[in-house]
Amino acid sequence: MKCLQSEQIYLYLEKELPGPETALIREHLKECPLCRKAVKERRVFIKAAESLPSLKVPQDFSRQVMEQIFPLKIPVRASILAVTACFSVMLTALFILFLRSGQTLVNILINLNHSVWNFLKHTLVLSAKISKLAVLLIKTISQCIQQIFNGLASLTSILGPELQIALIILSLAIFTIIFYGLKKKLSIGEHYE
Amino acid sequence: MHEDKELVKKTLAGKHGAFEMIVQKYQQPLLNYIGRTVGEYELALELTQDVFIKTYSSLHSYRSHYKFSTWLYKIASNYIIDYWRKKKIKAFSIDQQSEKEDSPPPIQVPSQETSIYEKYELSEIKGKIETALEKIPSYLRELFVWKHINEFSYQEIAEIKDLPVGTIKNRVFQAKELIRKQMEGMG
Repeated sequence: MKCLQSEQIYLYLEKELPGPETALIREHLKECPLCRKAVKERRVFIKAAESLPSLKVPQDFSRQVMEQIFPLKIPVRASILAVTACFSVMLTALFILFLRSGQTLVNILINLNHSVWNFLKHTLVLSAKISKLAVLLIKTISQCIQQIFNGLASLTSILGPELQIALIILSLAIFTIIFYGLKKKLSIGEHYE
Repeated sequence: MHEDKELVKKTLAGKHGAFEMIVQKYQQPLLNYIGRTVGEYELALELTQDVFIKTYSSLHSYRSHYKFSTWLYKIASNYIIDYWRKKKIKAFSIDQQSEKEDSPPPIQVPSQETSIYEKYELSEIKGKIETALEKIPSYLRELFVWKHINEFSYQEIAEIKDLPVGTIKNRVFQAKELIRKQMEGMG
């Protein structure tokens, strides 16, 4: 038998050849080291190709596909019901106001409009002021903390460890004196009462 | 296969969960096929998602005498070819006759030189295959991926592509030889 052709080797490895041809190839491979080497190389090649790692499927992939196919839809019946309920509540409220105030419906609507507008105007101004104050407060506190840390950092870089310990003890002592001083003052106040 | 047909029937009857089961079953092999064929992970995810959407919208035209997986991969293959066409990326149709199609297969000339298969570890050979795969024509790459990554039989590939088994065998062989040639060039 002649040396093997490349295609023949692949088909042999993939068990795609008829029995008699496979037997002939086996016999030839016993005698031919070069064809044995060629078969071995292609076996390694196929093994490597077949063991290439799988690409990673994201965990929520199927959910994403389903969301694309079936986008979230609110049923028409539910939407109609919700709108009807809102209108019913509004009409009932208007009717109660009409009965209690004795005003005409037009006047009630005008007054309601004014009240809602005033409420919104005041609430918006107030919330804007509060948020501005909160931002300023946060900025000031963060700057103070930053300054304290900077001061401590420069102190620790200047002072030696012994002096640092002495400073901590001194700070603790001052803090204790202030604390007890305040406590005493408060208790004196209690005696007067 | 029977299970796939049941799931299709349930999907057509309005049970969304049945189609989700189809997606979960085929997402991994389909992503492997599309990913190795287009060579970009993010694009592969996008195309895989599109293929499932296209499959769902065409489900009414599925005929139960076909194997579902064959039908699904046929959609995927056509979708990728369309994508390349739209992007004007040179894509070879499987039906396109290559110049070397009818030339006789090269005769194996055994070599005594040390080959890359002796020089490198399996993991390095895998890396070289991945690089080489991107350099071969897409119509051959697709067939190589189906045969050696998705591990389809020649018969299954022939059914997907509507071509004779012999043609598929010959083209998969061409793909392998081209990849090997590319790998040898890498040293």
